[in-house]
This record gives sequence, structure tokens and C-alpha cells, in this order.
Amino acid sequence: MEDEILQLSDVTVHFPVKMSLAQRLFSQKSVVHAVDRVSFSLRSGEIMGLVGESGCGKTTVGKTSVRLIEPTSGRIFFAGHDITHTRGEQLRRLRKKMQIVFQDPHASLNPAMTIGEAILHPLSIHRLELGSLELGRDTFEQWAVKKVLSTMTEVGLTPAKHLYYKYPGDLSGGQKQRAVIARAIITEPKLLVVDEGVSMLDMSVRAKILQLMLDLKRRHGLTYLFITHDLATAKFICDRIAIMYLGRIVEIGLARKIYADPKHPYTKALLQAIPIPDPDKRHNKVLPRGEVPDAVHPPAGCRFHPRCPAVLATCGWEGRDFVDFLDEHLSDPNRAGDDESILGPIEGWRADGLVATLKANPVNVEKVVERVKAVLAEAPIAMTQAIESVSGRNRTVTVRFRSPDQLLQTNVQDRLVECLLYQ
Amino acid sequence: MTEAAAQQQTEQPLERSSSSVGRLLDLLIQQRRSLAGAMFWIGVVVFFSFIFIGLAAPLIAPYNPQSIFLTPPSQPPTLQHLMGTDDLGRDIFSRVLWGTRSSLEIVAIGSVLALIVGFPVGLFSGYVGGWIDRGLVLVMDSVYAFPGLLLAAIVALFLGKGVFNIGIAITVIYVPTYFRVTRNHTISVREETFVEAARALGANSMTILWSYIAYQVLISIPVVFSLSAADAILTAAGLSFLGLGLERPAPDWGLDLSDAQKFLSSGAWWSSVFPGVMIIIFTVGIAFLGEGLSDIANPLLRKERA
Ligand SMILES: Nc1ncnc2c1ncn2[C@@H]1O[C@H](COP(=O)(O)OP(=O)(O)O)[C@@H](O)[C@H]1O
Ligand code: SF4
Ligand SMILES: [Mg+2]
Repeated sequence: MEDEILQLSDVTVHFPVKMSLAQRLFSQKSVVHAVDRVSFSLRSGEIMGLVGESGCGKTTVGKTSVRLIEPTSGRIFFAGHDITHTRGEQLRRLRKKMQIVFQDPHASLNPAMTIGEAILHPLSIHRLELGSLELGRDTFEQWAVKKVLSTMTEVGLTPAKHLYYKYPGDLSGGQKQRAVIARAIITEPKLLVVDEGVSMLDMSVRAKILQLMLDLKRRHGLTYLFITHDLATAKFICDRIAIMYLGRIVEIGLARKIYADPKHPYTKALLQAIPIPDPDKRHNKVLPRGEVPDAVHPPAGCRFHPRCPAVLATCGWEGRDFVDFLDEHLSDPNRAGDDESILGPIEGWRADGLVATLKANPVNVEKVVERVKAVLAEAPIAMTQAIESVSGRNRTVTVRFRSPDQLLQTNVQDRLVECLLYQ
Repeated sequence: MTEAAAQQQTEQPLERSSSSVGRLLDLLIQQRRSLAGAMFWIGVVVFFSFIFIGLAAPLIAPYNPQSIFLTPPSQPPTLQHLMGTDDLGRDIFSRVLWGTRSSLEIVAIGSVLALIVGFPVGLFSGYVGGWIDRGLVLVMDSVYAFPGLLLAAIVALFLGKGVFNIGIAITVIYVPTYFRVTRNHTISVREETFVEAARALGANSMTILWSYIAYQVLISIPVVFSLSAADAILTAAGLSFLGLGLERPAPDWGLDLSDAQKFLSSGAWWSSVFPGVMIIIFTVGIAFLGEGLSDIANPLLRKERA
């Protein structure tokens, strides 16, 4: 695999959740599952898109790829070398070869450095790693300034000599992003991670910056990991795309094929951006604006199951889904009737893994069980089918779900899809 | 070049070049009619007048400040002795002018040393974080919590009198102030995207700290400098007043004030009022400078960090 620039293998990144002292003492340590067992590789010269809603872990994958973040587990290979735990001086030197462009060009530039200084800085940082330079009669500084000016011209920051002495505050958003790109490519990296590189720019500037990136790729043999939440942008620029949902890659393959014929229900919903037909209101939101479940407690089974229009009984239904369903049901007075007086306020219900429980008055337990069953008739079919039992014992009413099926990545028409429909 | 020209048209037109410092200066000039701006500029005038007086004291003082028996003891102001003479017949006007010089020296030594120690330690502490930071904060906070004059008095007792020793005594009080401001600002700048970008470029910690963070944090220093300098003048005067400052017969506001107070009851108001007024004008002037600067600079700091 010589021409593989970047390879992520089962990379997982968990962040500690900020907790108060009391929470740390009395509750379990909880973590944000920002990225969970993500694998993909980038071949030299390709543009791979990482697409998904905000919060699904794209930035974390990007930062981990260039080792601004050390993964919790899994491995990262860069040009064949394992860089998972590289650190210190070695990692610092490696950075010459892999660069990242952040979303906000203004925030990415030091307000106290002129544009020219900012673009020159990587050269002086990596002066020793640049190898033997053809300085001619120039000193290193003279050589570097010339290189900066030519790079500025190349990225369209012209007249370069004039802009060299400007501060970031004096430039437009597009110009600032050009400066950030110039700074990133001046050390001739192999890999460029572009995290939402155009999403803060005006529409008119966007296309130009994208075109610039394509030109630079051709001229410098760059490989891109192109992160965006915008499918149109990804379609324009990417050779392959990976669709992420809540820290997982759910579909990955050639962009052309995925756009023409998406397989994963989430990809389909993203591409069509249509309301998902589902009797449950909560599921009726238009993607991609729907709420993403929180990453501290990701849903069991397939993480997309609470929103999936094609969901099966085996996709990961759990106690929490029942409580959510009940909440929705009770808050609609037309449907609820006197349900609340029997099923109790929603706060009484506890969800724990595959079960949802309610502490009830022993006299009422039977009545509650009956009513739960009645209400379930209105629930999504897949969820009802996933319920193993509704039972009442002593003071507790328990709704128990079956264990979900194991999810695997399946090869479907030249791509990997993680969905039970294809297993 | 046509493409470039087209690009310049669609992307916003250029403004004129300005760094953070340049922008601050623009603002200070623009806002000279606002309260904060006026305070700042009044402070600047006072501050530089006193520096001028201090530097030029040998030229503008009509008499040697230590010459005694120029007149009979304690003469009220006259044209020959604009501020009168003291109980030893010395010219108070000349002493007040020379006293400016020692105050300036003490403040300069104290503030500069406090800056030299407090700023790098604050940068380091804020940047590395962790238990080192917590330890340093604890130490600095305990020093800070100590009453300033008392602390300076204790240090001065150990070191002895003289301009340099008093300067050091004052340093001890103000190091925690510089430390706190620098550290807190460092912590907020450390989280900025451009700092992460610098790390991604391959900059080492030293480069990040000095080329990316220190620059930003430095903006908050002039404010601390002027506020602590104002306080330092009072402290220096206080030390002299308590007899821990300069050695008699050196011309010094605090010392002169202390010597003059016993003659107040005999009606010789001039020998206490003039040194006192100098202390007040200088202190208030520098405090104006600091407050004005902080009012104008802070929104700018906040905006730049937003
Ligand atoms: N430094 C961090 N500490 C804690 N949580 C984080 C941190 N960075 C990201 N997260 C969380 O990880 C998840 C993924 O974030 P991110 O990678 O920024 O997503 P995206 O770029 O797709 O919007 C989010 O839930 C976010 O809140
Ligand atoms: S596994 Fe497939 S069908 Fe099941 S919820 Fe996930 S995406 Fe939907
Ligand atoms: Mg992001």
C-alpha cells in the first residue's frame, strides 16, 4: 500500500465530559463518544469527503488525522508509518508533511502577524527540515520572502508585495482563507485536511476557493481530506465520500456512485432532504436539521435508528426509545386522553439499557401494563415488534426490548454500508 | 492578472493596514472627547509632565534642594520661594521638583521589575496549566492578599533604605498583579484557533508562547502598568512617611510630608500641602491614564478575542 497517504484503522476518540466536583464524585465517569471505530484510507492524489451533520465528529476525525488529537484507541498511519502515538519533536517535524485548514480563516490567523509573516512562519519553523535549499546568493530570509511572495501570487493574493504587510483584519474573508491555504501549502505537504474550508465564505467566493484547491492539488500533488456538512460542495470536489453519523461512518465509497444511488437510509435522507415518513412526530423532522441524539449516550445498535425511516425491529430499540415515544404521546392531548393519569408523569419512567421501568402503586400495576400495551398499538411497528415483554411485578412495570442485531459494514455495489437492510 | 483584479473587485475592498496597537491608537485618538478618552489623554499629559520635571529638575529647580538656612525657618511662599521654605530654611519648590525624580525612579524600578518577573511567569503558568499553574496561583494569591504597604514595609525593613531597595520592596507587591492579569489572559488566548493552527504548523511550545500568545497578552499590560504605578507612588510615599523609604535629607515627597506634619499646627501649611498635592496629582494622573486606557482597550480586546 505504498500510495496510501493516510490510513485510519478503528480510530476511536472519546472526550471527557466537563463535570462539577460533585458530579465527579457521585456519578460514573462519562465521555463524549465523538468518534467510534472509524476506518478509511486516502490514496495519494485523491479528494476524500467527510460529510455529516454538525456534531457528528468530522472535525475530530480531521484533527485526529493530523494528530492534533491523540486517539483513544485505533491506529493512524501516515505514508506507511504508524503515527498513532508519535509525539514531541518527531511529531513536530512530521507536521511539515500534513497540514490542516480550519473553518474560520479569521480566527486561524494571528492578529498580530502580517499576512506575509504568517505565511512565512512555517518556513522558519521547519527551516531545518527543508533540506538543502537552492539559495543562490540569497540569505535564508531573502529566499523565504521570495517563496512567500510566489506562493501568495499562486493562491491569488495579489498584488503580493502589497498584501504582505497587511494584517488579517484588513483582508476579506476570501483573502484570509487564501492566506491560510498559502500558509498550509508552503512547506509542500502531502496531506491537507480542509475542515469546512469554505462554509464561512460568501457564495460568490466559495466556488473560487474550491477551484483554487483543485488547482493546487494538481500542481502540488496534494491529497485532501475534505470535511463539510454541505453535500453540494462535496459533490463538486470529492472523488470519494464518507458519510458520518454520530461518530460512525455509515456509508463510504465513490462520490459519483453514492450521489447517483445512495444506499444507507441516512445518506438517502441527507441527499433528498425530505421529511421522513413516520407516524411518530419526533421522527418527522426534515433532515439535516433534526436533532442529533447526544454523543454522551449514543443510541444502541444502529445509532440512526431513532430517526431512520426504514428502521427494522432489530436495529437497536431500547428503553429510552419507549420513554421518548411515551413522552411524545402524552404531550399530544388528542391522543393522550386519560393516559397520563394511569401511566403517570413521564418523569416517573426510567430507561436503563434495554428496559424502561415505572414504579407504580401495586394496586395499579395490572392496569398500567394494559394501558402500555394499548398505547403501543400506536407506536412505530418496528419498535412494537422489538418489544420482548411488558410485565408488571410487585411495584414495577417493565417494558423490555430484545437485543439488537450486530451491525457490520457490508459491501454493497462498490461501497461499504453499515445498515441491517443490507446484511 | 485579470483574474486577480476581478477577485479584488468581488472580495471586499482593502482597508488601510492596522495592527492591534495601531487600532488601539486610532481608537484613543478618535475617542479623545469621550470621558475615557479625555481621562487617558489628561493622564498622558500629567505623566509626561512629571517625567519632564523629573529629568529637568537640576535645570529648573532654583535652589539646591538640600541647602539649608536659605531663609529663616518656615517662611510662607514668596516670589523668591514659590512654595515657601521648610523648618530648616530649604526651598520647598526645589525639593518638590527633585522629589519627582526619586518617585519616578522608585516607580520605574518597581514596575519594570514587577513586569519582568510577573509577565513571563504568568505566561508560563497560564500556558502549562496543571498543578504548576495551581501552585503558582496559590503563591501569588497569598502575596496578593497581604496588605501592600505592610508587605513593602517588611521587605524594606530587611533591605534597608534607598531608591533601589524601595523599588524592590514595591516589586514584591506588584508581581502578583502582573502575574494574574497575564496568566488569565494567556489562558483565554491559549484556546484560540490561531494557537491551535500554530501547533498544526509545527511550532514548538516556545514559539507558540512568544510569537503567538505573548503578543496578544502584551496588549493588557499597559493598563496594569499604569494602575499599579499609580498605586506604587502612594506606597513609596507611605514607606517614606513611615521612615522606611529614603534617607534624610534626600528630597522626597513622603519624607517631606512626614517631616512637615508636626508644623501644621503652627500654621506652616505650605510645607505639607505642596508635597501632598504633587503625590495626588501624579497618582490621579497615572490612574486616569490607566482607567481611560482600560475602558477603551477592553472592548477592543474582547472584540479581538471574539
Ligand atoms: N474538546 C472537546 N471536548 C469535549 N467534547 C468535544 C470536544 N471536541 C468535540 N467534542 C464533541 O464531540 C462531538 C463531535 O464534535 P466535532 O468533531 O466538532 O463534530 P463536527 O465537526 O462534525 O461538527 C460533539 O458532540 C462535540 O460536542
Ligand atoms: S440499520 Fe439501517 S435500517 Fe436499521 S436503523 Fe440503521 S439505517 Fe435504519
Ligand atoms: Mg466541525
